[in-house]
Amino acid sequence: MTSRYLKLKKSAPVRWVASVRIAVACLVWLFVLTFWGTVAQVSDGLYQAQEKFFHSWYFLQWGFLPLPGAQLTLWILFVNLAANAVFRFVYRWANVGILIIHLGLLSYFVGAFVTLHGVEESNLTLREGETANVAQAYHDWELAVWSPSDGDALEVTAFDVAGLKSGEVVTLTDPPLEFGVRLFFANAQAYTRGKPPQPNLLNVSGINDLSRLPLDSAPERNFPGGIFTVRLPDGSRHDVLLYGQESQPTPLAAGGKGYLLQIRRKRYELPITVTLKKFEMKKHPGTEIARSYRSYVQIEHQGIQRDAEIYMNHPYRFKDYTFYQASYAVDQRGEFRSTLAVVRNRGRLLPYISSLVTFAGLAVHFLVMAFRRRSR
Amino acid sequence: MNRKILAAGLTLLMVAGGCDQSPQIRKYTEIHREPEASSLRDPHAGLSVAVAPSMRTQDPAVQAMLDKSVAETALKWTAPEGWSEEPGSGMRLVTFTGAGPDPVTCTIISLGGTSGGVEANAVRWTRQLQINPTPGDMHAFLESAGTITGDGGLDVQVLDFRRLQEGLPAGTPSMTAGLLTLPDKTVFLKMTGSLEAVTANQENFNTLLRSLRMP
Amino acid sequence: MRRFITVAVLLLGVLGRTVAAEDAPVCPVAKAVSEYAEFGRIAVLDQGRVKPLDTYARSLLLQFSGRSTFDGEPAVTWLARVLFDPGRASSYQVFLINNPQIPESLGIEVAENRRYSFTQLEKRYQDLQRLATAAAGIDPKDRDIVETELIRIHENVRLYSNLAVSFAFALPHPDFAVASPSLREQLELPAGGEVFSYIRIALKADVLQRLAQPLERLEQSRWSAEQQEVVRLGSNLLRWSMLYRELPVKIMPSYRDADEGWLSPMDAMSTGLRFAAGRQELRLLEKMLLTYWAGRDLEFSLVAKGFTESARQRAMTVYGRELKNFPLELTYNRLSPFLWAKILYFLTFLIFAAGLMLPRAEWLRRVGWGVLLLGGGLHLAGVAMRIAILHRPPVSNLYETFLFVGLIGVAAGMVIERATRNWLGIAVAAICGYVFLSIAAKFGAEGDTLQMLVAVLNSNFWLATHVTTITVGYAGTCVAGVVGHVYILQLIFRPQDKQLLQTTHKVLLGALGFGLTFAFLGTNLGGIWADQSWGRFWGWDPKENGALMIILWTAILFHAKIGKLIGPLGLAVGSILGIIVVMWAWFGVNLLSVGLHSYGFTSGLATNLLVYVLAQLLFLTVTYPLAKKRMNA
Repeated sequence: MTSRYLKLKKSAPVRWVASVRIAVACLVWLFVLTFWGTVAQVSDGLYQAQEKFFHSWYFLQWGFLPLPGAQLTLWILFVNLAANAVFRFVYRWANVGILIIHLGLLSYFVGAFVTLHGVEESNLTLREGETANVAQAYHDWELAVWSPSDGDALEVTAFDVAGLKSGEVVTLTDPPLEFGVRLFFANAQAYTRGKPPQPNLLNVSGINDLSRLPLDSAPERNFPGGIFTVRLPDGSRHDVLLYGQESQPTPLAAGGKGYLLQIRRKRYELPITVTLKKFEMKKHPGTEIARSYRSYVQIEHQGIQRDAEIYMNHPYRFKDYTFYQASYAVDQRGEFRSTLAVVRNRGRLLPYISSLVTFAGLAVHFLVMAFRRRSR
Repeated sequence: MNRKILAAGLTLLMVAGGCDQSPQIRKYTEIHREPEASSLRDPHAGLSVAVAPSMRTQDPAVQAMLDKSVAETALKWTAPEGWSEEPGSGMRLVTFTGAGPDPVTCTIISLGGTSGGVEANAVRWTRQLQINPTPGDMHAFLESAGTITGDGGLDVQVLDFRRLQEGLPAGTPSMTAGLLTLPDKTVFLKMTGSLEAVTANQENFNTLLRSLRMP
Repeated sequence: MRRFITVAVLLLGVLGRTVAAEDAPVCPVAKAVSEYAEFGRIAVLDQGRVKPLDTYARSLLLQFSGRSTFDGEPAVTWLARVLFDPGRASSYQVFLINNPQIPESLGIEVAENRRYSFTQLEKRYQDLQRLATAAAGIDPKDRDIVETELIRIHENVRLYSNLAVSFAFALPHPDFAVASPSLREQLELPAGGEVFSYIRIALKADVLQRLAQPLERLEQSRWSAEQQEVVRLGSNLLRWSMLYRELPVKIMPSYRDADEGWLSPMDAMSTGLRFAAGRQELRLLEKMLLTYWAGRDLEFSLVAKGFTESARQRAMTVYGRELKNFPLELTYNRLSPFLWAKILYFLTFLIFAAGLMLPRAEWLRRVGWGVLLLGGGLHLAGVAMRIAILHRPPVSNLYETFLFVGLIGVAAGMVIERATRNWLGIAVAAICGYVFLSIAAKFGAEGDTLQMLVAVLNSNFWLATHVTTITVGYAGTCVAGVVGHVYILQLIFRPQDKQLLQTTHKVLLGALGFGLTFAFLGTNLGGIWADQSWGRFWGWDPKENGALMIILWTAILFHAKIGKLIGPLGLAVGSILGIIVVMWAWFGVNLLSVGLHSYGFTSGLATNLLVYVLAQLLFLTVTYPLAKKRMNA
């Protein structure tokens, strides 16, 4: 122990940062946030409440009062725990259980952080016999550009539209197009009648105007739209209006080359191709309660094909992707559509490691306590 | 020494958490294959909604009763000379075929209820014959629809669609229809064939209508 | 429909009863039997599970009237009356309607005992249906208590009316009157009557068809009276088979092996009559009704047994396991283990109260221990029986979690008693056992508590580990709360006994630690389950948040103690408040009806929760200042 270390240890700020009071205060605030965030879900919806209370650094209550969000609180707790581990903890054999438990907690925080920033959640809906290699995001949108092709593979270039502002310019190199954002709304209303803001506005659905709508509390109900000035490689400019609820892409042709543009939910390319071979559903006899439903899929990875079954509590894992049986639907013709939830989480194993460590810590702690009681 | 490493590691971890992600431009290959033209599946297989119960009971004895009750329309007729008669099943009571190289086909169909009324049926039939009368013509046509009273005392409204096909070639598909409204059902009599054949068999049709009676 | 039954009942020519013609329709009285053991053993498929008719009858009666007996008789007696003698049963006041606004709005006289008969409700069925349909159109969250109740009553009345006609096929009816003697002979119908039941005629449908064939070629005006009767019978057969469909009381296993569905006798008629086993079984059911009316006990039981054996043979391959469990289930029904356990727990508490007056009576403590052991044993037996019947851990619906938490609480109390030997454990166990079983009884009033699982809960391993562990965590925290109450009371009434206070304090710490550990473990396992099933370890779902709150609360208490922010009294108060946190996590979150955990709900729950919280806070406001004074004195 160097003298610098000892001096640091006794200094007031360090003692304060590593104190138990901070821990208690953080825990109390987390307790309050958890309750508040749970009740808020009724009026704000799960997603909004989650963003406001748990994913945020702070939030403004009643429009003006700043309060710490769970992220900030957990960071403070993390620092507090870390400082405690470095400066205050008494490393005795009797405390080894407690040490392991708290190390486990530290790793939880790390895992939570990685998940928050690293996870990609999407879904994939297939009819029997259908094949796809892309999954769709739930709330995020992209502006996608591709050229029509005869085969069943398309080369798509896309960029996220979240946070686009007027005046911003996005330059693509391949294809060499430049998108100037004239206006963009994260949730928009489209109009097909009335004067267009300017003539020669290209849109495949006949929409000629957009207006801003307030963001809906259920994020999947927001449909973005924007007007873009697209500059083509030959120098010509075209104004294009794109809206999230359109089912067709808007074509743009110049110099013999045709492009299709669309604002649509973000698509994630999967490392594999998934084909739904068959979907099966069983009910509890004499009731409408679903007993089980499963998808029989064929996975193709670089030419190698494999069969798999995906059903409740039995997902399919491929590298850091996991495919879960989320739900299904039946159309009037009696054909099934199976929806698979796709989660890509590079930090997927972290909570398992944290759990293991904390379980071990608990076990060790109890063993130590029992041992000490025995030896007294 | 150990504590220093621990401190350094934790600090690094905290710093590393600082980076944020800006929207990037992505390129990907999208593959999509539709299912092969699916043979129409049995729409009742595995539906999650309750299936409409089948109208046919499964016991043959009871089914026979059902067929019987439907067949009992209590309507009698006499086939005109030269027309051959074929018994029908279910709602179609009988099918007549006329004589000759260009025969007419005549059917008697019995449907429960009111079946929409004269006008609606007339409109439906004009569409079948691909005639497009103006509203005025249609109105006049309906006004001129005659009634034949049979020996059994039954009134049949007659719609002679040849009136709307004046001047058309002899081979044009044409029709004469009769509508008999009974308390609990409606009986349709339809004679179809080429314009020429329908004209030739008009008298046979009227004979048939006049022969209708309740036993 | 119901009037047919009444008329049918009047025309019971087959049994040779006479009816006084001058009176307005007087229902002849079925003699009824007194032995229902075999009848109760008949297997019925209801809500996805094969169960004995005894359980089915209990759950129906609970559903309609909130009790599992009627007029002192077991549920199965009542069900037999409804099925075989619906005319009489319809006057039984079996529908419980708590809210007087409902009978008022239907124009029915409000009954003091809040119970109404089918006849009363049937008269106003149109209005009931209208009101219930209107209420169903309102979003469930916006419905008020009367609207929810209206929907429930409507469903119950509909179910009852379907039950009442389930055996209509065996009751004589004018639709099947055969006037022509020669026809009666050809149809081999019993002599001495003119009116027969559906099944009597249906069994001879082939004869009818044969007789009807020549009629195809004959003009209707030439049919004889007998032939007209043949056609009339046939079309009535058809009409009945189309009218009485999708009825409850599914006691006929399917005649086609691949099919897993069971059918009500009327529904089974169309396929059943083609098989010898089917005809036999349907005849047996008819005989069951007839022997019931004649009051012939022995024959009734024999017929029921014959039917059961025949049906079982077909069902054995698919449902063998459930059928083998029937004796266990019937014992479970009869035993009412939880009722007796509750009584014994109450008794234990009384003994404990006596023990307070006689602190040195060691013999009394042993007696208390013995009674507690007995109660705990019954409690454990009940839970074990449920596991055996359903082949899954007993924690899959709210009702079961109360039984289980009660059991763990009692077990924890017993452990404490063995450690401290000073009545503390006995008191804790008795309180936990009694309170949780009482709450469970309230939840049990929703009908059959041995329910099938929704798909998401179908994974046995995660169910067993996660839900069990977290429930143990709830129990531990609740036990800590009870000990906290004891600590405060001890501080008020025996402040000088430092040894006692210290022991209680240690026990409190132990209970809190136990609760924290298991709640933490359970939450973790829940996260693993969620990751395996839905792709994310933690989603801030209300139930997850609730569990987190328990962990946070107990952790706060421990860390506040370490940081010397609170002392033993503070810890006791904290543990008492911990019970409120557990209640919130356990079923408070269900009231929010959001997220993945919304699979359990009872009306009136919110009020009860609120009342409990207020009472608890009142307790604290009264006792805390007193305790604080004692501590400082």
